[in-house]
Amino acid sequence: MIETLYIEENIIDHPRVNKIKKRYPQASIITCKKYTEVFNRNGQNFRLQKIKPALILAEKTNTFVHPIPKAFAVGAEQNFYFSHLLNCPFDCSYCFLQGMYKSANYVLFINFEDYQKEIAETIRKNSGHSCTFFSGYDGDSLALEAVTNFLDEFLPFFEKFPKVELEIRTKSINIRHLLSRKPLENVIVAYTLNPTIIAQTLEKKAPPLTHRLEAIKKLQSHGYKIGLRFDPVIYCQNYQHIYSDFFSEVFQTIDLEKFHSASLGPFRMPKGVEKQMVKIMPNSPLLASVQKESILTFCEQQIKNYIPQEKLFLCYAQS
Amino acid sequence: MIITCALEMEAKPIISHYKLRKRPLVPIWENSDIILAVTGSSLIYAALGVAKVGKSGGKFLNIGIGGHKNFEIGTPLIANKIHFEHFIEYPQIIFTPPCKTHSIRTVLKPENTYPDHNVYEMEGYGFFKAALTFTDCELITLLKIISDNKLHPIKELSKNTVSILIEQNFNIIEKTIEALQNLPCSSPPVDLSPFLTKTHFTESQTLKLKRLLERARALKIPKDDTLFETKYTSDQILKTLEDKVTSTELKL
Repeated sequence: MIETLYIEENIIDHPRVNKIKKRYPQASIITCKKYTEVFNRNGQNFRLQKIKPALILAEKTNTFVHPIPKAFAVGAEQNFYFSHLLNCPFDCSYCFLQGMYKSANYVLFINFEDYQKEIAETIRKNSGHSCTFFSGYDGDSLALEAVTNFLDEFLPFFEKFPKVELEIRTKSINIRHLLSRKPLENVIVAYTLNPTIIAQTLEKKAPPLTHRLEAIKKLQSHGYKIGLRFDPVIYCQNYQHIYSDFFSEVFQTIDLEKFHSASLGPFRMPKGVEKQMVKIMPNSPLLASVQKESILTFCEQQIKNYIPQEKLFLCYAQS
Repeated sequence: MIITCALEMEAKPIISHYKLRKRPLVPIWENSDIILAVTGSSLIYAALGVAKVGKSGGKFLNIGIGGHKNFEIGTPLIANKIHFEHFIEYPQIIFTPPCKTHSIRTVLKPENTYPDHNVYEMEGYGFFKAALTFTDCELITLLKIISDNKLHPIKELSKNTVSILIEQNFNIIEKTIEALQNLPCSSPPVDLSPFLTKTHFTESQTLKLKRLLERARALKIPKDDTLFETKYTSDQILKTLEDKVTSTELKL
């Protein structure tokens, strides 16, 4: 439940802002000139803000679309991401956002048209290449859908570009909006998955694995293509047993006919982000532990037991 | 928990309710959970007061009076935005506040005309900025009680009325203190002294030691008291700790 809404003064009367204000009639409304006055300021603590995050409504002013290195691609030649939302309601111990930002408040950029303009321009510039756009790098794409209305605004937009893929990355089981519309061939709903024991310990507030698998089944029955993102996999005691059981459960549940791709990646982050995470979570067992590469080779072999090699994308440097 | 008030009249009901005892010679009262400082009026005195009693990682609460053009006398408000001249700060309220929240403006002289919608007061900005040097902004709260408005200007305010206004809002004050006390504290730092007193560590080795001890604590590795023995060099201690940490797998 959002109890505090920060709103940039210049968008106070924007129709999307008015709609969100109506959703939270009890919330305190605090105006600011620029969202950066409130978000990510020195002296803020991500872990403390996570207790009760506020929602900041803002207008993004530059660089709406960012390129993604080839190592993170899932098949296309050109790959980009865009973030209409920063932060998410789930609380995953490995999430790099807690090292990237000092603030756990959600920032929703409401000028969707500007994003779409730049995405369209990027598509035009890359017209000779296959392209995938990823949403959900800096926040979960579906978890706050009731507030953001992201799907209503972006699915009709991507429908106009059938050769371009949109990947909606999520852990959320909030799929009502997806099930209420006709699935698009070029939209992939990609679920980040980990074994139950890891999800319970390290993915606080996120839906359990069984619920995510249920959501996947429903989406597949409705006609959506599904991506499976085993990223990050976590090196831990008894990982072989934990992950082999997990892959067996996942691939027995999903329909391989309506399956787009799987990707595999380790727990990794830039040095500066790791330093900040250690600063605010010095007692995190995950950050204290050593993550060994052997888990990647093991998981790769396991996944290949279920799907063809060309459907698996490895998001790490291979020796 | 550190509480500051500008005036003794504001502090009096709090001192009596929490049975705080006065420190000799200084306007500071305390018990085992609370330290209360009476700082004097003005943002400079408020900041100096925080500096006198501040503790790293502590929780800070400023309780005081303020004026607003039309809010009713006795209305309690928690500050959600603090203006001072052209500066603005945004306290982050991470508990459900027991009363409404509102923006405040810190001024250098008492305000009689209340030119905008802010609550006018004289300490908030100084208190907040000084407390920020000790702790995270989520652990700093300002609670203001409306003492004057256009119908009842500040010149009508007596010392006795100030205490009555605070007393009348004690329920809100108590709930705010409780909410702040319930917020998590940062975990205690690892104890380096058994190592540092017996063996010489350089600055960078001390940093490495600190992180290795934190990792050992996080992974629940039992303490090894033999490492405190003087026969080991700093390099040997670090190597032993590192080997233990890196060979311990994450247990779920």
